[in-house]
Amino acid sequence: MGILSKVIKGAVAFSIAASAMMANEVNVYSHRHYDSDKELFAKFSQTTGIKVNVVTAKAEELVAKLAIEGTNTPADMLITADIGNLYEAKERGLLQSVTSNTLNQNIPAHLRDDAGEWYGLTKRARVFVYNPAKVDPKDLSDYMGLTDPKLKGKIITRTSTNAYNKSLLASIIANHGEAKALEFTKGLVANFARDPKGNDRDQIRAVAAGDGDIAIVNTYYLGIMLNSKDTKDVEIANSVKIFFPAQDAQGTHMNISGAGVTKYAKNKENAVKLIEFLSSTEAQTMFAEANHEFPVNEAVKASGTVASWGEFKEDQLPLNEVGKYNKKAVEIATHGNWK
Amino acid sequence: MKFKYYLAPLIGLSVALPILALFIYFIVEGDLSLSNFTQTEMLSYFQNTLFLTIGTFILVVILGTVSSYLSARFEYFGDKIFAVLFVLPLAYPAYVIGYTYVGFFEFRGILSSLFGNNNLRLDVQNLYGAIFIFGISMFPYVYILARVSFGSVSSTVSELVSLQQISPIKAFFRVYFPLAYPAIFAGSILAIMETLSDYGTVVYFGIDTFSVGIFKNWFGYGDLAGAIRVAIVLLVFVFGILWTESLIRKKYRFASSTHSGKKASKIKLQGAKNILAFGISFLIVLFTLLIPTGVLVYWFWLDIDTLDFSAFGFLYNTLSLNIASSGVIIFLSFVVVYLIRFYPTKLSAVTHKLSILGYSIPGAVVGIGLLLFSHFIDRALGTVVLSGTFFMLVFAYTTRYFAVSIGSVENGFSRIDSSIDDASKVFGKSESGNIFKVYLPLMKPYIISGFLILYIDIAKELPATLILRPFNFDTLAVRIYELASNEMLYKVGFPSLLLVLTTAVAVVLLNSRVVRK
Repeated sequence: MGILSKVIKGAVAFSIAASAMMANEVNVYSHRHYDSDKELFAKFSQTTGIKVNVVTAKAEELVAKLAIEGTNTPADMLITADIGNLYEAKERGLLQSVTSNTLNQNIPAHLRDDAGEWYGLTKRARVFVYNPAKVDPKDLSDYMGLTDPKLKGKIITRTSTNAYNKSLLASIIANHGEAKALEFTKGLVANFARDPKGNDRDQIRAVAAGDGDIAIVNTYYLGIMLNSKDTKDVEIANSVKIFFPAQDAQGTHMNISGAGVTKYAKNKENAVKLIEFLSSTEAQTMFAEANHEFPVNEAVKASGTVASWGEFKEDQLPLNEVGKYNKKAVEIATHGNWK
Repeated sequence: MKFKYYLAPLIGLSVALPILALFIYFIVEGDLSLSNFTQTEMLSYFQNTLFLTIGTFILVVILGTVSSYLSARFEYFGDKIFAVLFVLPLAYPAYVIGYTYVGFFEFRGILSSLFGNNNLRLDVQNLYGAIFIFGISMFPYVYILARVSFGSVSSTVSELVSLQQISPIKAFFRVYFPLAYPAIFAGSILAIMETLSDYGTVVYFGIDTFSVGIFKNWFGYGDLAGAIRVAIVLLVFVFGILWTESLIRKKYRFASSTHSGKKASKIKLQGAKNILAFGISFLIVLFTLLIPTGVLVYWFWLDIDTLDFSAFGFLYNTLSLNIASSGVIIFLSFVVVYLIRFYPTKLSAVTHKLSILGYSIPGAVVGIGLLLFSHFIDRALGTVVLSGTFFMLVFAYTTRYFAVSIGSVENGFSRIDSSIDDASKVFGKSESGNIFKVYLPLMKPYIISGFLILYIDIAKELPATLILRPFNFDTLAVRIYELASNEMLYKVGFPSLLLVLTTAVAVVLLNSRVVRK
């Protein structure tokens, strides 16, 4: 047993030494796994001398990890690729309030938490992609329009457990109420061309293949495909068209990638500095160009590919509302048999 | 001396700790009422899992038996090369094979490009597709084990068969298959366990299995009690399989006694039979190895001028972590099996069963269980000692893969006659001397093969690694996941090929004489 206690003592000493060295760094739990994010972190380190340490995993798991770690968490900052999990972290008391003039200036009010517990970093529009040979865009309207019986056997989307679909449904609950959301789910399922499966790229491909005529996807996947080195991806992406729903109503549903400072952050200042940097013109330009997401900073333009799709009206619903109804959305999706 | 009776139960219990921690947490924190939970959902998890399990079982038994029978009993064109190629699919993570087949068969995919026909496609993203993916990536487990059995058929048996003038096919079903059945079944159990714990592939293919159900309840509905219920049903399912396996193993115990004596020589195939054997072998290799590899090489080619060489850093991480963890796990398994042999207790029999549960539980669930456990320790110590350390990763792999290494070691020990135990007790100087001079040398091939199988499994492990790894520490599997979730499939080519090369080295070693002796 002597060895074991030595090992424990050694480990304790090591971790104390390690935490003493943590002075000039920031620890990030991130669900975003883009190489452009890594480049951004490197750039931040270069200009500030603050080292960025990252662990990437699924957002749900990172939130669970934060909750379990409690005060012991090494994480200073949480980045998710959707509002649902960010809101969940806030609700579970895992984030803390931050006030920053820079952030308030760079990020519009509806894309950040009133209490400053989370901030949007990029916007992601959930739109329709359709086959122009089979669909007249005049027949498309808002999300509820997808339940029209004349679209039977034409709709394609991924499962309801997907975070983007969850948030879309939550936004419908927030905008129109639970009864309408259930009606939407049932109508949508009745119009499915096939069982939900695969990722967004697979949905776009399925429309191009004629398995269905209309798919619900995030715009940047089409942006990525249009700029792919796989020429088949480019051809497929070119064969479909984008439709921004709900232009005569509340506007297209916008999700976000966002960040918050963790409740027990040991390097809070550095974390705030990093979020501020990520909202800066320089970083926002990189988000926009590398991944074809919409910048939250209004001073920054979208990428050429994204700009070519034209201007559109965005749903300005405060995203806390979307977060609030995320669990309800899962219930309604299950109730409406959306796999 | 008395502690030796308690050491094996202690290790067994420690290995099972992450899972036990999870159960305790669920029971304490979760609301165990029946609300918020629909029977139909559980039924669909059960049906999908059952169908997937049965389908995978049938496919791995067919592929594994045919390949091992051909390889162990016959000489034909290319048999020596096929003997190695049949093992290699083990080098691929099932999710990577899944990606490659979707890329191959999808609309305007590689198949349609090859034939210049845009209508050439096949929808593989369904239950049948998943069975196919699991079948082709897991069949080597059956091949490896069954080949040893087919290969050690005694000459008496084969002479008897030729005297009776039974046709080769009849002989196979009447004589050889029953003899190799325990090995075939043991291999297929490994394949099924891996299938049950998979999350990445089934989610991508849109199949709601138990492991998807656990995630859906836990993270989707935020329903801990629901998740534990699914996990419990999964465990009952697993116990059912293990119980069936032990019954069948008992029934076929006679099989091992016929394997002694002079080994039967291989039969040389000529003419049409030679072509047929080659054709079957080639088809198996085409679907299990050549197509997935071809797709990865094609993607590698598309990506060649923007290759990300940081993958070599991930390779280094993968290698160092794997070799260390595999070493620790195989050491612990040896200790446990040795102690159970010489210092058996009822308690150790129970903890032994507990310690192998991790193999059927999704890695992410093991990971979260371990987080709960380490947090408990950290809180007790008042400082962060365990969280985010390599120790945690090694622990997680131990829980997850203990069943694999213990199987290997048990298999080795079971071939050491009890008379050796008696002799070493009488003549041996000390216990440690006996271990080093008698048991370790006898066990060498089993320890090496156990180590290599661990190495291969851990290199492919993703979900637990994702949650538990320290900051800035990415493995190849993590890198592949990141690129694939970015939905740029061709970027997956380079790191996947690197991963496959490292596991392929282990696979080839596994196949070498050192291990097979």
